[in-house]
Amino acid sequence: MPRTAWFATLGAALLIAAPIEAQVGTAPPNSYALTNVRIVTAPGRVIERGTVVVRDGRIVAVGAQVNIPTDLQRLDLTNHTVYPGLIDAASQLGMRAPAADGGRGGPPQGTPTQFTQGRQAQAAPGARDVIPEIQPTRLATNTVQLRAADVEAARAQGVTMVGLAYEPSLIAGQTAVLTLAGTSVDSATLRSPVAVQVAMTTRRGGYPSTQMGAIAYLEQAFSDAAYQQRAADAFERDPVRGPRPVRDAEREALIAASAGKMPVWINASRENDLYRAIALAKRLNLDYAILGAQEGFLAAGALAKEAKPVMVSLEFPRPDAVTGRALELNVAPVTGRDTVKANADSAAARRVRGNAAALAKAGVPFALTSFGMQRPADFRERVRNAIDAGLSADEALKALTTTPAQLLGVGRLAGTIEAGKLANLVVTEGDLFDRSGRIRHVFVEGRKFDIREPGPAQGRRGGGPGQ
Amino acid sequence: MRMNRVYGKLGGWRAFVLLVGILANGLAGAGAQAQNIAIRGATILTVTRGTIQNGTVLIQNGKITAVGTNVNIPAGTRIVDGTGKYIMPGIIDAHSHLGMDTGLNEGAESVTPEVKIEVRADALNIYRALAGGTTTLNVLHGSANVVGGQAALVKLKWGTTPDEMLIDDAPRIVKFALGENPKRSNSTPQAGQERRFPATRMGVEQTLRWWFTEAQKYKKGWTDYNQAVKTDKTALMPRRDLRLEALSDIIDGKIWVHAHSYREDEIMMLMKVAEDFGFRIKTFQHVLEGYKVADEIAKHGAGASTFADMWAYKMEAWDAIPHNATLMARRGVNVSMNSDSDERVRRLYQEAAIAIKYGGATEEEALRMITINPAWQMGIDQRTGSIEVGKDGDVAIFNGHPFAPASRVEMTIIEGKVYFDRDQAMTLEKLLRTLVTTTDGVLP
Repeated sequence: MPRTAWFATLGAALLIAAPIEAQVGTAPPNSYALTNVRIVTAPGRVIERGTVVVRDGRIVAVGAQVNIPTDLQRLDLTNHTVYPGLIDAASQLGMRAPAADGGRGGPPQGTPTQFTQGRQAQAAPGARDVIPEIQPTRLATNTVQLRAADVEAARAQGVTMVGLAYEPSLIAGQTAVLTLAGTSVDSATLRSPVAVQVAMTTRRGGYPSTQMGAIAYLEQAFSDAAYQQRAADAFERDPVRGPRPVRDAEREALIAASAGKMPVWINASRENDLYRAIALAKRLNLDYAILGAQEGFLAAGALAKEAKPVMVSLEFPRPDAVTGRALELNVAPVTGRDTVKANADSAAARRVRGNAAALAKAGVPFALTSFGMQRPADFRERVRNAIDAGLSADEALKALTTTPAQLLGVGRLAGTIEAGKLANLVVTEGDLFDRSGRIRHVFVEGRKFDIREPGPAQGRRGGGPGQ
Repeated sequence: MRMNRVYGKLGGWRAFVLLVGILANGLAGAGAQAQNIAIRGATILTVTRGTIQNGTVLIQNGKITAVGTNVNIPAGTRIVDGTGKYIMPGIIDAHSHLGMDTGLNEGAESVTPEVKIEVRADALNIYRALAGGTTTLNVLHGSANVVGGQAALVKLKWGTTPDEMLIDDAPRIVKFALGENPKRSNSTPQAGQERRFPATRMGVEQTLRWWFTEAQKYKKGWTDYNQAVKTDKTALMPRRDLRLEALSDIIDGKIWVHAHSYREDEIMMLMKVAEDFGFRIKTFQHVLEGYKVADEIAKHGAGASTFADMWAYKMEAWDAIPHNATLMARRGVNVSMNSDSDERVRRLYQEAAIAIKYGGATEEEALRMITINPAWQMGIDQRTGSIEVGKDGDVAIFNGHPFAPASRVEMTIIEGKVYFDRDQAMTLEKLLRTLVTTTDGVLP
């Protein structure tokens, strides 16, 4: 080993995270040359020793033999590995703001429509109330509150980009994709809107008050959006003869989705809900993605048949709360009183953690997400739990890079280390998903963030079920 | 003791989940395989073709292919010894709420026919129903609404998926409700909710008439459009209103009405309303005063699905008599005996026997009340409800005559698959032992 490299490693170990930075002249911002580094350019594709050149926040060159521009800050990353920045396709980062300003997720945008007929439709014009559960015009970019600590916590897990998701709600709003370089929502927003998020859930104090009602409600809502478009088209074609359509912002907000031109994210986690969500989406001919799918392993066959992407929550359900039939009681009979430990190690616990592995085996395209997780700091540990339960590290990486990038419509910008893509990178010592692996730097659009992960391996095995 | 310990320790729901899982596990070996099956040497209660002594029922590829005393059984067929046993068609319950887990009532509004019942295939009570020889259910919306949601017609293929349980070629059925339940005179509105219209029996009729008038207008809008679009391709297609569309389908007879009812006056009212709008009620549910207006029900063409001997559990049930079923049947009404209960669904054969005890029904009349008659009311009598060649292989095997007090179900078969087999069913003791150990293993 060359002496400089030796000292670099020693220095890094002592200072926790400080590789040698060889600065030449006045380096341009957000531009680096990552040299002597092991490069995982995409899941399953590795360059054992090479260079990644980053300029103005973009990757401009990757390879074993790359000419290194002299004006760049050069990072010697011997014994390090660089991965594509992780993408959390359904994060609630900054979306669960305290209720101070009138409820979860901030103030509602616009005035929701009553899609229902009946009593409500007979009410006087102008008598519309704001319905917190029904907000098709709400934008995640208007709802999210980026706090520095939350963004840092996500980045510390290797997450460089997020799809924003709402708490499940009948029509929750429109989602967005953000990069995690700072707290300005405007600079962070990469795409908005990305999808409409809906759930087969109820409304307080009115229709729908049941899940079956919610399903009928959603069918009517998307059908109304399609009608709104038809009426507008007819008026455009022949304004003399046709009736003048009445503007309706809420119906208009769903037009693209109703025509299959914008994805719809459907919250569904339990087995029967998954069947219902699939059936609903097919009846409405939606371009959809399931969000949650905690019991995806029970409906893997049905999900595989659809071949639609699934955004899998890494919030594992309690093994004993899993839908009964398929539990098939793989719970090993246990004697003794150490039930917490028994629960965590039992076949049933393994099964809920093995959700992603089961989906991979069935051929379901999926992204791993923090949706529903209370502690974002557990993110990577939950990924490890999924790997422990049978998911391969490559599949895990795919579910955190290329699949979510496609799903969020940013496949040309993120998900792999390739020239032209955003310089979203994770630099580790050791393997990213290994318990002894440590994240040292995260780059978001070329901005370098040093991560201070504690050195010794964590003794904890994460907050899984039963813990 | 042991049971108390278990249930005291677990929340009820949690015990339920565990039980389902355990039973599903126990069942997996018994029910999963499709097979050709022959039950030999039994007394066959065909219902529509009389009783056959020492006969054989052959089921191949899910269908009954032979019934009689001289049946050729191909090699490879599973043979069940029916000596001393009775075979009857799988029991059909025309009024159930079993397996609903998305709500019983979409009760926020009075008229919700756009809503469709969702069922689950893993409910424990499905297994219990199977143990009572029941194979087919009409899973109806609750009775909180004047016009409720659309029913799910299912075969009890426990442990499959909701989709597999649904009878795909069954007609669409909607639940109506009259009287105390939809007017909600005894219920308190939820916080933040107004009292819902209607609040009287008069209002129930008015609700029906107002909505069906709206549906007529809606229908006309579409008729006009369909006419206009023939000459003008750019005509604007009307807005689809799923509620009015369903009501239009009711007027057109594309959705059948099963109406929760008690008193003769409301039964008469509904038949009049339906006739005024040009449709018919398919079946009156409960219909405890049906014996008073049996001729009118028969003339209207409706069926009646009633309780055996439930009486006076509320004011409008005061005039109920256990002779109701037979009296209606003798006046030409298609009568079925229903459960409306996850418990009674296990013993509908005993409910049917009550009609013999009180009303003097014949054995065949009583059998019809839980087989071919409910099948007719549900529009599936062409494929199930009797033991005939060409029909679905849905049968229940009893160890004695189904109407004998001590008889019990030995085996329940749906479309040739065994979904309940008493020989293989876990005993309660074994079940509880598993539950206790499992519980200790799972609960923190």
